Amino acid sequence: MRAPLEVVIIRNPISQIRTQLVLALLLVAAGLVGCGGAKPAKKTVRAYVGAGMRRAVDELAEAFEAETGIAVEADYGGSGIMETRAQMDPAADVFLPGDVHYVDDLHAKAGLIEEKTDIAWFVPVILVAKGNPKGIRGLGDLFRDDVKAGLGDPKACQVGRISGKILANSGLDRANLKGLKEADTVEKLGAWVAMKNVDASIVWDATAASYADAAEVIEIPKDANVISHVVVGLMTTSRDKAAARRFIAFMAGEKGKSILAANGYRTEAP
Amino acid sequence: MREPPVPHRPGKTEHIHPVAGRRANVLSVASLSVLALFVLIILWLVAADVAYLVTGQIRTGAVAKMLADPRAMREIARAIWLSVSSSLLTLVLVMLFAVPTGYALSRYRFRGHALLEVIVDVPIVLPPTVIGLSLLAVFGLGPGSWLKQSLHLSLSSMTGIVLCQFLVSVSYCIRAVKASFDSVDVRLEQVAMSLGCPPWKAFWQVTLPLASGGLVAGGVIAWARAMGVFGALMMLVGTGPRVRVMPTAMWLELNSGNIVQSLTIAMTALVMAGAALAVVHWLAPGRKWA
Amino acid sequence: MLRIEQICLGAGDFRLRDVTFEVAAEEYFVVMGPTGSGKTLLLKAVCGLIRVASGRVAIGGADVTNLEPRFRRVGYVPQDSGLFPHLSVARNITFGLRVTGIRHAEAMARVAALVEILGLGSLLERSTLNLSGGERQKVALARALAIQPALLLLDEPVSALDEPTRREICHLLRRVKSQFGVSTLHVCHNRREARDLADRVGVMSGGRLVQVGTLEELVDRPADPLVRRLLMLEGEGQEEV
Repeated sequence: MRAPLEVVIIRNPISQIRTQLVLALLLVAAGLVGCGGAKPAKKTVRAYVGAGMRRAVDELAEAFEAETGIAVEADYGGSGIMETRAQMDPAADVFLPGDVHYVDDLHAKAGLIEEKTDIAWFVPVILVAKGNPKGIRGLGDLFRDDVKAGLGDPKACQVGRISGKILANSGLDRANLKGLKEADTVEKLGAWVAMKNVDASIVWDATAASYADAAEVIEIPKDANVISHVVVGLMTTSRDKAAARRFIAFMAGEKGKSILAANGYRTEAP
Repeated sequence: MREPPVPHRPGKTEHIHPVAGRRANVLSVASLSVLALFVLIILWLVAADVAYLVTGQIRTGAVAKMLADPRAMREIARAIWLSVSSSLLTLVLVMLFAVPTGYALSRYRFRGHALLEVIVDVPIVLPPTVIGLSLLAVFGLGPGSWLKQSLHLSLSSMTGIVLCQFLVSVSYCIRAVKASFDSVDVRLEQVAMSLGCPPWKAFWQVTLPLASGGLVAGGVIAWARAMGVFGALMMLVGTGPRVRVMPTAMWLELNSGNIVQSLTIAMTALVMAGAALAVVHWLAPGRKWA
Repeated sequence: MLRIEQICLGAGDFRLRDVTFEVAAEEYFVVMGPTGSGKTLLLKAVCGLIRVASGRVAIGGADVTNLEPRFRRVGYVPQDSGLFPHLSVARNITFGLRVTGIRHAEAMARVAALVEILGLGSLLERSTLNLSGGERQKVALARALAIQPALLLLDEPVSALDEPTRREICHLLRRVKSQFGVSTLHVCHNRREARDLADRVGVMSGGRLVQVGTLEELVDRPADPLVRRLLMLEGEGQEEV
C-alpha cells in the first residue's frame, strides 16, 4: 500500500524539522540571555585585588555591604596582572594588590593613584617544623649542608622577591643555597614545612600563623628584614570617590582591622 | 563497460567497511588499540577527579562542608549559569558570523582569497591571553576607547565575556562551516536556481540543509571553546562577582585553596559537555547523508 | 525558441568563441563535441549560470542575456542528474513547484502526469541516495519538466548509463518531446544519441560551433576533417560495445 501522492509529497524529512528546532532553540536562548542581562543599577565600589587576599576581602566586602548597602565588586587576579589591567582598563575605584610596590609602580607609570592608605603589613619570618628538629637559629643556618631550604620563586610571588633581599642584607647570597626548592605561592612554602618536605622557608607571619600547630617561627633580625606593606590606592578614574573612600575607611577602621586580623594580617606597623 | 559505476557525487560517503567481517589484521588491531588507549586516558582523567572528590570527602568532609555553605553553592550556581548563558549568546553570534564568512570563503574566488583565509585563522594560532591583551589595547586607546566611553561600556560585563568567547571560538567554526560548504556540490545550488530559486533561497533550501552536519559540528566546537575560554577573560574581564564564569571561578577557587569547589565546577562542566554532545548526536541532521 | 547570437565567454581554461545558432519550437537539438570543447559551458550560459562576455541569448523571443536563471524558464538537468540528496524523490520532483508557489491543485496535476509518463510511481517515497543511474535521470527529468520549461537543457543525460538503460531513457526522451512539445538542447559526445534523438545536430570544437545541420548532412558533407573524425571514429568506436 502506497501513501497517496499528496501525502508523499508533503511529508517533510525529519531532519529539516530538527534543523529548524535547533535554530529556534538557539534564538530563544539568546533572547532570554539578552533580556536577563540587564541588572538593576546598585551603588557599587569596584576593586582590583591581588588574588592572595581573596578570603579577607570577600569578608570585608560582605561586612561593608551589610553596614552601608554599598556593594563591593572585587575582581581578583595576580597583582602584576591587576596592575596591567588597571593601566589599560582603569575601570576600578580602588586598587589593592599584594604589595605597595604595585601601587607605586602604577602611579609612576600612569599616574592613576589619587591617595594611598595603609591596610596591613607582612613581616617575613623563618618557618621551621614544630620543635625545630634541625636547630635553626637564623638565616645563616639555611645554608647548612643538612638543611633543605624552600623559598618563593622571585618571579611568581612577593615573598620570593623579598627573600633574596633579606639574605643579601645579611651578606648572604641566594645563589649559594644548595638543594633549594622554589614555590610559586607562599601557601605552598608553609605546607612544605608542615609536611617536612623542606626544613625551613621564609614566609609571611600571617602564613606562619595558619600553620601554628605544625610549625614554629624564628624571627628575622629587624635590620636585615624587608617588611612587605599592603596599601590600598584610590584610583583617579573612580566614578564614585565618596563611596570608594567609605570602603577604604572601613577597611582601615576598627571593623576592617578585626576582620583582617582574624585572617592573620598584621594591621599595625611592626 | 557493461555496468558503469554510479557517478560519484561529492558529499556522499558510501558506508562500506574496508575490512569485511571480523578478521583481525595489523591495521585493525593497531588502530583499535590506540582508540582504546585514548578512551582509557579520557576515562582516567574523569575517574581521577571523582576519586579525589570522594577520598577528600572521606578524609576531611570538605564536600559536605561545601554543600552546607549556601554562599559557595550560590557562587557555583552563578558561575554555571553565567557560563551557559554567555556561551549560548556567543554561539548565536558565532553562527551569524561563521555561516556568511564560511560561505564566502567556500564559494567565491578573488584576489587575496588565500590571505583572507590566513587572517581568518589567526585567532586559532594566537594564545587566548594575547587575544585578551589585544582587546584590552583596542579599548584602551583611540576609537575603541572613545567607543567604550560613549557607550558607557564596561569590559567586566556580559559584553566583555562574549567578546572574548567570540574571538577565541569563531575561527574554528568558520573553518568547519567552510569545509562543509566545500563539500556541497555547487551544481545543486545552480539546479535550484534554474528551478526558480533566487540565490538566497537556493542557499536556504539546498546548500544550508546539506551543510548542516558541518554547521552543527562547527557550532559544537565553537560552543566548547567558548565554555573553556580562560586566558582572554583573565586579561579583559577579570574575576568580578558578576563575571565569574566557570573557568575563572575554578581558577579563583584553586588559588584560594578550595580544591573541592574547583573540582565540583570541573565535574559540572564535564557532565554538561557530555550531555550537550549527546544531544547534538541525537539531533545531528547531517547524519543521514553526511 | 532559443536563439544564441555570437556569444563569447571565458571561464577558467574553457572559453566559448562567437557561438551562434537557433533551436526552433519543439525541436530536439543535439550539440556534440569532444571533452573540453565547451558544451557544458554553453548549457550553463543558456541557463544563466555563467555570464556571457558578449553576444545575446533569447528564449521564446525574449532577450534573457541579463536575466537570472530563475526567470529563464529552462529545465536544467546537469551531468549525473544533480538530485538533492536531502530530499525524497517526491520532494525533488516538486522542488520547483514549491519554491515558485504554484497552486496546489495545479502542482498535483502536473506531478501526477509526470509520474505516469516517466513511470516513477514506485520511487516517490524513496531517498535519492540509492537510486540506479537510470532512475536518477528520470527523477531529474521529471523535476526539470515540472516547472513547464520553454526549453529543456540536458547535459550528457545518458552517457554514464549501461546500454539497456540508455535505450530506455532515449525512448523516454522521445516520448517527452512528443507529449510536452518542449524544445530541447542536448549535449553529448556520442553519435548514437544524435542518431536516436536529434532533429538537428551542432558540432563543437575548441569553443566554436563548427557546423550545424541534420545528422545526414553532417555525415555527407562534413565541414572539416574534425567533424568527420568525430562523427565516424568516436561514434563507431562506442557502438562496438
